[in-house]
Amino acid sequence: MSLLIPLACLALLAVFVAAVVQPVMAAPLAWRRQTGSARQRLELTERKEQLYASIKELEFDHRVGKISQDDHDSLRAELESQAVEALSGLRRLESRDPDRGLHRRIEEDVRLLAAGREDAARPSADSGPCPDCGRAREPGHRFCPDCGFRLGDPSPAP
Amino acid sequence: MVDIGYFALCLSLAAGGYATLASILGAHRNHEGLIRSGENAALAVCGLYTVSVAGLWYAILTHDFEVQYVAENTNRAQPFQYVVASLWGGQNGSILFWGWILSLYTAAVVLLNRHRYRALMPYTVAVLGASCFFFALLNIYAADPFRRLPFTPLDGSGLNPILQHPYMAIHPPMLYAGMVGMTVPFAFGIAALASRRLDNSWLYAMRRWLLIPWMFLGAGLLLGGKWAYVELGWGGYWGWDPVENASLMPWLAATALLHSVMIQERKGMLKVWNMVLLFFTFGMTIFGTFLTRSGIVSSVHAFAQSNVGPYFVTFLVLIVAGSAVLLVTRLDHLKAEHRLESFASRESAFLLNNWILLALLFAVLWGTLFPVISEAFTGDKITVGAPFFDRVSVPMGLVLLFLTGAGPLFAWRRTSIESLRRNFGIPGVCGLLALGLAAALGVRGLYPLVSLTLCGFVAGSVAFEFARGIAARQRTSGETLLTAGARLLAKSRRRYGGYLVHVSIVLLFVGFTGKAFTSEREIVLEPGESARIGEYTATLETLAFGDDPNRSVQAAAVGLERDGRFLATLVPERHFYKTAEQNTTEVAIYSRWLEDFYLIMVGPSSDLASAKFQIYVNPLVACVWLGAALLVVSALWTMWPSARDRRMARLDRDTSRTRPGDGSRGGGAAPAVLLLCLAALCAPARAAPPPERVKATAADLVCLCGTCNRESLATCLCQFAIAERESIALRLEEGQGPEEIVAAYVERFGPMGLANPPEGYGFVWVIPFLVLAGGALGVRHVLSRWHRGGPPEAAPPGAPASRPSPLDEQLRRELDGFEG
Repeated sequence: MSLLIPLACLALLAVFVAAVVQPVMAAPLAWRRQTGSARQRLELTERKEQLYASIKELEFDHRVGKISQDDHDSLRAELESQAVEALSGLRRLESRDPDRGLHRRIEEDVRLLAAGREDAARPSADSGPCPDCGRAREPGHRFCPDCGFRLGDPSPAP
Repeated sequence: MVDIGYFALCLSLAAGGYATLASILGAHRNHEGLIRSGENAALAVCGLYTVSVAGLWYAILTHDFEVQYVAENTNRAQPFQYVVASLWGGQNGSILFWGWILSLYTAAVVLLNRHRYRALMPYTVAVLGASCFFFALLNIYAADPFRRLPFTPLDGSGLNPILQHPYMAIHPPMLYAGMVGMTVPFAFGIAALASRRLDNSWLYAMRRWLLIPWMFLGAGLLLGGKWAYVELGWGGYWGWDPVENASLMPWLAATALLHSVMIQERKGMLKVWNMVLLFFTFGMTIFGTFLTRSGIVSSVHAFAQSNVGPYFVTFLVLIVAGSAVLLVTRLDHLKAEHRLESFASRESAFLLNNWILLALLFAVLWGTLFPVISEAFTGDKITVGAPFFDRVSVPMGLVLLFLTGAGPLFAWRRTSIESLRRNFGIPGVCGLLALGLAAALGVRGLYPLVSLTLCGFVAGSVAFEFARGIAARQRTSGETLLTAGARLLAKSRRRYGGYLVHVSIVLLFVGFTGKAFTSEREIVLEPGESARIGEYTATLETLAFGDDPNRSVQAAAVGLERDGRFLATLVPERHFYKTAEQNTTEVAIYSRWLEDFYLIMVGPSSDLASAKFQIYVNPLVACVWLGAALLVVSALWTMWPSARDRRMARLDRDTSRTRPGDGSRGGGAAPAVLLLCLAALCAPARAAPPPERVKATAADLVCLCGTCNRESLATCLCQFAIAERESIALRLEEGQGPEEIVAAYVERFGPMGLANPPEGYGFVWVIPFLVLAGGALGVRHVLSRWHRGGPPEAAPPGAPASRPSPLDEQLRRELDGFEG
């Protein structure tokens, strides 16, 4: 019994030290890899959902006559512009997600290779839709006219 | 086990300190590993506290009387459930228990937010860790529950007898959960300031964490009321005891905060005020704990006192200074985003609600602290009793009740005269109907009539709100009445759950109003003898006496009839606890919807041939308990996770893949105003037959027997009080006036014996109303500043109508299918 007590205390101490030291020892990179973009997505989704809920509540207030048309419109516009911001952040995140981007590229390459057009697997910097919002790209534009995503320099005319 | 418990407690002190330092350092250096390490340390605090509590529980259950706490608070004769409850029955154990609850909250916050609110979390954990550190420190240095005695007594002294009651097993944990829980919203507030993330996200993060302790506090207060009602034999449920007041004050502040955060969420106003209110709420919990545990004011809760005062004062000073500095340095980030357009608006109604709640809080604080203040200035401890609190709180409570009904009827920004007329019409008619009904039923007196009218008004306003909501749903979705009602409650939990809380307030006020019509009598009966009390006839059937190692019992069987119909046999008891040498009363209550027949056995005569009883007929008490139940249920309904909460929890789980999370987007309530405390809504003048005159005279005095602490001499059941009442009766018979008798009592015992401040202390009553008036000026000032200043209502930034982009389309699409 007398030996059990110090042993139990030591065990408690060991568990505590392990719990505290382990995260510090784990390479910071590991944390970033595990949580970086997923966490940002969570944060943006949370924000988006909160804003949607606020918009819905505002709408309901308006329907039951708790808020005037003017006030409703201005508050709603404010909330909507914040929601659009969150949405565009989410899209940007989606396009930057290394895993997804890589998958998409590999799939595209495989598809093109199967079609026997290896050259075409290198898309020109000047074509294709905006990777951020998907809007068709207009020739000569360096930024997407919709979401402002940087598209890169247009290639010189052949 | 005791040694392991003590070691775990010491280690949790280290863990709490480490959690704070690691989190702050981690946030400062943006080092995720350190932040995680701090969070793990916070989880470890919880584990260690659990081990520590288990250690003490083990000592208590195995009757290890070598441990001082066990010897002082338990004994072998005690029933098992009260042995278990001894953990929080004394000072040192209750502080350990307190720290344990705090560590459980801390662990819950950490586990539920492993991936959410990342900017806030390090500071939140730091504050929670620091609080855990403080309580561990308190336990180790000032209130060690594991201290050993130099010898092992054969038996302990036992848990305080008045605590040996089933309600007592749940009332303290509820209150602790409420008081301690306020640390979490406070931690989020500090985190928002420290991280400069002062948009609405911290409000969303903390809303539910505010609602949880708010509910626990409310439930704890009402359970305490129930305990006092059935155990203390006052005939009432609220006695304005300092400890009751100490938990009422943070509850009032939290109620104010729950309302005013809504303005900030919607309009971005009141940002600084909400922070101050949040800090104040938390400060009140610490201050209340200090007040009752340091023993500077005496109370029925005197069983938990020791020299922890200086620790609490230091902690409180640190909190106030730290949060004030943080707030001042962040003022730039807390500018209002909108300005007020009209005084007839929801914004103003919320501000008025804050004003009256805080004025009431001040009145309670003033009354509670008055003995201390008067001693500091005059050297005499002057007590203010229930009459002071009733006189001050009744009018304020009625204004509050009015606002409970009126607030929801105002629209945001401005309410036109025409819509005011429309909105107030139906509730106003309901109020008048209630007035007519009350008058027809024979209710007289200004306050009861006003109170019942306002109850009708609030009930009408809630019904009107529901009707409007249902109609709006039916217009857009074509649902049936029932479906629309159910969906309304389910989808807008926060708003309609809040309205349900308003209904519970109405029930509580109806119950409080009933207090004005309580009637009471004292009778002596021999076995077989009957007495008539109003419509009731009570017959003493038999007297019985019993004895066990823990206590001796005197009991009476009283048959109760009404209009010749037998209702029940009531068995009031008196217990004498041997080790503590203390008497307690076990009240017998025959409860019906409209009134309670409340029977107390004062004691048998010396020859055991007859017994004296005290009887109260308390109308409408059931409404108080019903209101309390509805309050808890509707608060739970309000905070129950919505579809969106569940979605976010899923996403959080997907993010971590290992830990389950729950949505913690607060579903804060719009709960109004539970004025638990209007115990005696008013006392209409009654014709005074001799026993009533004795009571009336005794009501000006407090019992000074030394064990019952400040209980009114009119209601106290100890031998001292009974003898004093008999002597008052004699003196009245001899033709002495009440003033003379009171003066003689004061001459014998000093001004401590007075229930009300003596002559020359008239200002005591006036000060709370002065503060109320000062607050009104403050509100007016704020409103007019809002009206003038602040940024104008700007045109919407980037009106989306002119620029339909794919994102806008996505927004429309998602909003259409959005389920909140």
